[in-house]
Amino acid sequence: MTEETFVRELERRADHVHGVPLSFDDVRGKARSIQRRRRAGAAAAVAAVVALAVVLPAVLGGHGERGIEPAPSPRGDTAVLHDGVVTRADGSRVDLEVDNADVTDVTVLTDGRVVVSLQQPYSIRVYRADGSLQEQYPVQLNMVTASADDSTAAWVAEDFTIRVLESGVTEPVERPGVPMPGEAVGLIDAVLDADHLLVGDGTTTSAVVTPDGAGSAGMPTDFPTDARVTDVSPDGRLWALSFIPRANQQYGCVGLFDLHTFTVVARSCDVSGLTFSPDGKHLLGGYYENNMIGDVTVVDLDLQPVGSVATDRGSVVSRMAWADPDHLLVGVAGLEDGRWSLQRFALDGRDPETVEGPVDGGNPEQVAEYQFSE
Amino acid sequence: MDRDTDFTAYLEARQARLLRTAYLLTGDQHQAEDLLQTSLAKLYLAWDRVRDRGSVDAYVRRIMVNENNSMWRRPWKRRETAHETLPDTVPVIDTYDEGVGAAVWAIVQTLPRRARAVVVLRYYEQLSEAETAEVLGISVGTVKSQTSRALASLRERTPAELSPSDRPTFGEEE
Repeated sequence: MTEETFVRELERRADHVHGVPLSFDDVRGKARSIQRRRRAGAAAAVAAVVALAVVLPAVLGGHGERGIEPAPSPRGDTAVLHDGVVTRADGSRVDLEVDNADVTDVTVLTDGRVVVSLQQPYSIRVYRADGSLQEQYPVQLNMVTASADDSTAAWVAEDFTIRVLESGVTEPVERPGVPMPGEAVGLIDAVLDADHLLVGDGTTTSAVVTPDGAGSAGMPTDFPTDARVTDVSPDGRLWALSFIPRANQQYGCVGLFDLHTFTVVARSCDVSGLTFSPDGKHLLGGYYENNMIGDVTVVDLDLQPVGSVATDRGSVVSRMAWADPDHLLVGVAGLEDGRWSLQRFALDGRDPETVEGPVDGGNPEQVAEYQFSE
Repeated sequence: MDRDTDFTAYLEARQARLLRTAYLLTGDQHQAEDLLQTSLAKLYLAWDRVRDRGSVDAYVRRIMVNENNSMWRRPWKRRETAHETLPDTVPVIDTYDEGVGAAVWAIVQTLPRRARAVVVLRYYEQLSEAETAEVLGISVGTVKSQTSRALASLRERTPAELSPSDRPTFGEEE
């Protein structure tokens, strides 16, 4: 078998293919159909869900010498990536040349740029506000961690240093790497701001990275040594924690650490993976298993349950996020029929509303057809 | 030239070739026609920001590859799997090449979709490794390794009796 044989056979097969020529009207008609689907689906639906949308800055060029004008935005503006389109919280849309099957994280910065971490190619991509690719960065870990106000995103670069990308600044800046033994890769647990990142080994949060270095000296007094920070409240006062599971636990417990009192002020072993609501009054939790989420629950600041999300029989929760302080966005997939929908629930898990779909999609064990911004 | 006239000129000039590429990617004429129409429609939507870059072909190839992967995933039960064994069929013996072509084609169709995209772009579209990497959004190293793996797979899985290297060449025949 030679390359020549192979080339010859491909050409021979292809040369026999003759289809009915497509006219311009054929293509334009299909384009309009795609456009309608995009608009009627992602854009209109999500825009309706996030009724009190935060007005993001106008789409900017984003690649001039002076960078991008920053425009602070309150938290809570969840964006949705579906079928190659990112729909921002204000309903504006941008096409991205990415496939959800390859995407592990999405972050929309306040200057409109979209930061995507990919499984294939294993990298971080930064897209300009107009959807064009600004840059692709090789990484050690394809995870993006964003600050609570979406002004900053950070990742672990290929050379183990941390890269921090701020809204309004064209290029990411380099920060020291996560202190880890050997060539182990550490995680960025939380981005407090561009100059303060909480990092650890993926199990516990143990150090703070600043422009000057990385070390445990910056960690708060009495921070538990068996906990990892999973989220930071919008006002920065509370850190959501995940404790190392004990011998008889599968998932471990969660808690809240108060930076005013330097104590764990709430603890629960009935929920997992907490993220704060946009107003900081509630937290959303669930158990991540096999790329899906079980027991989606909303709790208050005492970590007491407020409500839980129940999907139809035969369907599962793929991803969850806060739509606004009073509503959840949930990507739901049918295990039997492969039909996906974007649904909205009230805080207490009631009033389910299908805001997009159902549409055909992939196996939820392998893909999230609706990816929500971090 | 206005937008639609410009696009129509591209459509008329390139669609026959693009359909052939789509066929090699999908292995099925109907799927290829669907893939081509959808890809051209997406190209049309992005025409204003693509046409002035001089890389329209690269853009539409990329759409085709991504769209082909997406089409295959819907519905998810059809998710691709790479097969280690060939379908148990009798190879069609072409008179001119003693069945080598049919055997090669059967093997190509068992390659994983992404690997198939690499070899189609490299050996049918005659793109360089760098150009292939650009279209697929992967590294040149990945293109090299996938190409090498695909060719090795083709060599390993071509029935020995159909492999040209195992057949006597002129002068060796008794």
